[in-house]
Amino acid sequence: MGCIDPNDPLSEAGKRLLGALEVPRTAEEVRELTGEPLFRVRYNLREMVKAGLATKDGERYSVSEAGEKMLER
Amino acid sequence: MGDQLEHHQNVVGIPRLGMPAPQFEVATTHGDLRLEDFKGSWLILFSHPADFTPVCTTEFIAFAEIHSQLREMNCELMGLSIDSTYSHIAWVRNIEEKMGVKIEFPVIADLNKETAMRYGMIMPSESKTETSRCVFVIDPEQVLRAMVYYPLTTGRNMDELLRLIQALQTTDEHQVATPANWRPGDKVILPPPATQEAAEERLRDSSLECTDWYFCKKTL
Repeated sequence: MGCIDPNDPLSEAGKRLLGALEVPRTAEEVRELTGEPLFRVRYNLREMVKAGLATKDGERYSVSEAGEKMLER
Repeated sequence: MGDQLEHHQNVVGIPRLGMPAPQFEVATTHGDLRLEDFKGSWLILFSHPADFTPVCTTEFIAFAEIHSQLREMNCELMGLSIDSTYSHIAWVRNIEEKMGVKIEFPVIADLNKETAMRYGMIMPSESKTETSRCVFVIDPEQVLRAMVYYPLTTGRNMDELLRLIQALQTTDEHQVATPANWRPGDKVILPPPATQEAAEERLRDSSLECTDWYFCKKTL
């Protein structure tokens, strides 16, 4: 069950998370930046990837083209 | 024979301390979570018999009260019962509305009992449809470090759970054991020496408080 719909506007927390991925980062690095618990960061990153808003390369996540467009909204 | 078979079907087994914690991917009040999402943090995974029941409500409030202390110790909390996500959501909203306590940890909706069976949370002689009050402490490497089982009738003691996490973390950090009723700041116990030479050396170590070669304490 995905909780992030690429057609819906992102929440402030979602924007913060996606914004943190302008630079490829690991879940642990995102946790340090956002202060969110690690399990929630990992869940949200997984959902972002499922929704096509982020990509994963090894352990690092980056914002995708679709994600960039969401951030511009 | 029929009873034995039914018993076997309802109790798959209890996990073992020191072994990797059984993996899961589950629906929770915080979305679909995996055990591996908690890697790098300690985790208290606990089960309760049912939503909207009085003892469980007191426990949820008590867990919420120690949640921030646990977080400071790099320990997360996650509940579980054989109820739906919608029931969990309604219950935690009710707790906030009626008792003024916000439940911020995820709660697993284990409707098919898969995780409950994997962790041995169902005690058929107590109830076949509810999980008992079980607690599993899982370390940052996802190894099962402690288990506590309480019956349906008896709410758990949060002080003891906090003390358990503090003791396990102290053990890991300093390679020591902790005595009965230990609290942070109290003396810790050195594991007994394995050789005669080590036993003699230990008795010569003036930094230790030894009653005998096998019974030495020290202050951290």
